[in-house]
Parts: sequence; C-alpha cells; structure tokens
Amino acid sequence: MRRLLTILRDPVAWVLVVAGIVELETEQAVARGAILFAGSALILADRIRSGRGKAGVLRSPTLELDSGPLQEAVTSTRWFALTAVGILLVAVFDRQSQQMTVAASVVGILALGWAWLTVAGVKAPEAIPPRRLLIWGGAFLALGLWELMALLGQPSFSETSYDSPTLSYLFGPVLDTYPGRAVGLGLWVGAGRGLIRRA
Amino acid sequence: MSRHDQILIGYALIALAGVALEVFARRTGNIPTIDATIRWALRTHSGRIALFAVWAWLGLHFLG
Repeated sequence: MRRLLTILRDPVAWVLVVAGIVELETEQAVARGAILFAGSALILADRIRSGRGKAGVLRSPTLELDSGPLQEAVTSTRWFALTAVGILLVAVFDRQSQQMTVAASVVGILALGWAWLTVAGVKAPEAIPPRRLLIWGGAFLALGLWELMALLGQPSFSETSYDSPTLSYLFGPVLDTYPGRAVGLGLWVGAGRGLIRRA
Repeated sequence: MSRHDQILIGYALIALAGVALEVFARRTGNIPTIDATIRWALRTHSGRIALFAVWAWLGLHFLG
C-alpha cells in the first residue's frame, strides 16, 4: 500500500491525467486526451518498474536505447528535405480532418515512445535554483489561466466565441489556410526537433 | 473596450512578458533562459516524457 502511494505521488503524471480528462470532457477529442494519458501512463510505468518514489530522480528508461543516432539524424540535410516534403504534403489535409489527426498522432506517438525508450543524453545544465525557475513557471501558469478564463467565457466548452477568444479560436482562421497549416506544421515539427536535440 | 479586446491585450501582455524575460535572462544571467529551463526539465525521465507529451498534444490540439 505504501509503495502504491509512492508510485502514485508523481505530480507530473496527475497533471497530464487531469489535462486529458478536461480535453475529453470539453471537446471529445480522443486522440488529444489519449496522448496525455499515454504520457501519464509511461511516467507511472517507470515508477512501478523502478520502485522509487522521489519526484525528479533520473530513472533509466525501459530499453536504455542510445538517443544519439536520432539526435544526429535530425540535423542532417536529408532530414530537413524529407521533413519539408512531408509537411507540404500533410498540409494539404484540413485542420482536424482524420488524415491530419492520424499524421500528427503518428509523429507524436513515435516521439513520445523515443523519449521513453532512450537514455537522457542531456548535459545537465548548471544547477538552477528552483526560485529562479519559478519566474518561467509563473509565465506559463499565467498563459494557462488566461486561456482557461477565455475558455470558461465561451457559451459552452465546445462552442467558440468571438467575445471570449481562446488561442485555438484566434489561430483557427490562419491554420485553415494551406500556407498557415504548412507554417504551423513546420513550427510544431521544428519544436519537436528542438526537444529531440536537447533531450 | 470589449471583452474580446481585453482578452487579446492579455495574450499580448503575456507574450511581451515572455520576450522581456528572455531578453533579461540573456543580458543579465540572473534568471535562466527558456533554453536552460527546457534543458533542466529534460534532465529527468519523467520531465522528458511530460515535455514530449505536451508537445504532441499541442500539435493535435491546433492541427490534428
């Protein structure tokens, strides 16, 4: 029982669970909720396997694969060329179409799986006092709360509103165009590449 | 000023604050840059998984 409580005590896992529930409740978006639940499940699976409960402790991943090959691959010219072609092709599909959902899900699941199965190759930065990290935490929290306020101001969670625009509502018209989707996909894939290179 | 405008101004102020924080971090070194913060979060396995899950969710939320 004590071990179970220790395993369940990871706040990051529960934040993902709550976000997943909110996603399912507000938009019935199964894929979006599922990716958050998957992240939570992987964190809890690590805890069960390692049997250690202290949050933030570096734990070895399941297979301990080397993260280096993919980190090198994403800097190659071939990767850039293939990714650019892929983005231009996928951007043909409408936002929130089945094809776009499948494409984004496959990329997201592969990246999440890679993050779980590989050894963290990150060179730990010099120790940062938690107090100094709070300022960025505060900035992201402010953005999250502002978005939540806009969301709560809508007629319903699934009905957007001009009077209370969320970020999705504001970016929607841009992402509904082909160039907007191509740029949006490019930014998203670029951010993922940045995570892979730093991970 | 309409509620629509107020919310837009709020988003703009938060974005400006983020840019100001990054500039301040790079110039003074008193606070970590966003890059250092992400690297800090990536140093643990649960941090890696959480960041990749949130990134995947962002793509699905805005595009998928």
